[in-house]
Amino acid sequence: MNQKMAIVVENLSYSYSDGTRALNEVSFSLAEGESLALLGPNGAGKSTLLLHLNGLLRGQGKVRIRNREIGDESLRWVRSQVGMVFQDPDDQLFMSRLEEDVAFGPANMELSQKEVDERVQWALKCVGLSDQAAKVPHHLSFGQRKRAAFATVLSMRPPVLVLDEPTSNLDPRSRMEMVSLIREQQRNGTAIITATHDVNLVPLLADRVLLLNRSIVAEGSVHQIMSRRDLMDDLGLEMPILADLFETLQKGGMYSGAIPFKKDEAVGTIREMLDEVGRSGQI
Amino acid sequence: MSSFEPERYSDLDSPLHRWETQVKLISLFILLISIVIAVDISQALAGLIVSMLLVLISGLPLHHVLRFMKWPFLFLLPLLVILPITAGGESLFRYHILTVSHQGLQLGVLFMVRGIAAALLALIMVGTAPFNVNINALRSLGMPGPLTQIFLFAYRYIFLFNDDLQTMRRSLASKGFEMRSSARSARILAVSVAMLLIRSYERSEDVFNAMLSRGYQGRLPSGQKMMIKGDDMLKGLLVVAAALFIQFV
Repeated sequence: MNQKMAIVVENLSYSYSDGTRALNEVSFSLAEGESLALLGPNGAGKSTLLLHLNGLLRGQGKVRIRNREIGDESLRWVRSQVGMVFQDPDDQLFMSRLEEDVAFGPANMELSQKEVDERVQWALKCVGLSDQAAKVPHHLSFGQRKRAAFATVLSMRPPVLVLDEPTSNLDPRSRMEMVSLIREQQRNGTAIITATHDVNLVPLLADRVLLLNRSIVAEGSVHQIMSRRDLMDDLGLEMPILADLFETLQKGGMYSGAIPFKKDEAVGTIREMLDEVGRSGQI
Repeated sequence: MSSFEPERYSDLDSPLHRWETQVKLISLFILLISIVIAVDISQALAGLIVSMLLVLISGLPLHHVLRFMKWPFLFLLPLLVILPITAGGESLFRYHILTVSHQGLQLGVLFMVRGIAAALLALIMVGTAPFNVNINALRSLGMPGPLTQIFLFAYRYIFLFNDDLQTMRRSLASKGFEMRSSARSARILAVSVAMLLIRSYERSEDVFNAMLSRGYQGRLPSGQKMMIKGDDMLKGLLVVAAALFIQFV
């Protein structure tokens, strides 16, 4: 397979100043246009790993972004390629007006004022906040601030997006809006890595899953990893509710097919099961 | 929303709101200097009348002006009380051991009027343009970059600090804490404020990381260039003329 790699991490290890080992020989890769979910318990090193992807932390090992290793001379370029959205939107909305925040990144890329203005308008339109451009951040609702934080990174048009808990503390509608935003960026060819605790959204957000607990526990497709109760239980994680249900039915001998992860897959599967019951008269 | 919102009415449409910010700040600063160096009450009163006229032209709501002016007034009031009895000079009247002097009363009134006039001008400077526009104008006028950034970020995050403070107060109240004049209350408040400051420091590290992630190199991108028009200069000349007039009253 000759896929271009957006991120390549090789044998990455990192310890905090007090000696706590946060990452241990982590290696993985992410192809361009691919979406990866990073799962793990609290303290597994998810945020620490993400901070290495744009050079905010520098551990032992190698991190390459689009074939270029992160180093002192490449730092500025790396940060134009990797857009990072942190968990707390108030950490990323530091200017007095939303439009200034969204313009911050493109302006630091030394683009012309015209180009900066165009990118600001485009990014705000993507997140549905065009009419809030002149607002001060503390006048926006939490969901709006989450989308605004996303826009501040989108305006840089990075080929790689790194998202730390993008749906945390959002109401259900805002969560689904965020998922749509993320998937739309992936359709536009952006490689995306998302750290999340929201296991039910992982099948909607990602193609692959990486289980992390200071080192890589498992890696594979969403179906391969999230249907493994043993893996999820070992890390104190829950299975997605639909997968949990059908895995339980499998164990009870009431179902033998593939485990669905999405609502429409599950509806289809239940219909088939009911049809089967109707035909055979047996469960 | 916080009650502390100096730029709440910065989006009104008045000649002062439409006035180009650099010219406005320079002109009002000259007027401010003229007022604070006023040597007698008639000059100070002229300055007060000019300031009140400008507030009227700005269209800022009366309740907003009064709410803002409450604090300068309370700050200046002690001078009006203390100076007449401490300044010395020709006695105006006596009450027991207290002697109110003519010169002291004049001085107290002078300070009061000058202070009120200056505070009204400060309100116009701050309240008729968004904060970031004012700071960017000051940067264009030569305010050092680091100072600009300090003002901008302090303004942005003071609202968040206020929110955290309110959350802390609610948390304390919901656990039965009542503010009393006791060492225990003082200790609890001190620890709570210290935690807020520590969290602020941690937040500042996270904000810095976010800025670095978006290519921050130590300088803020320069804002939109300001367009100075003929009527901006005319307004400036009128205000400067008023400042000179005050000196010759």
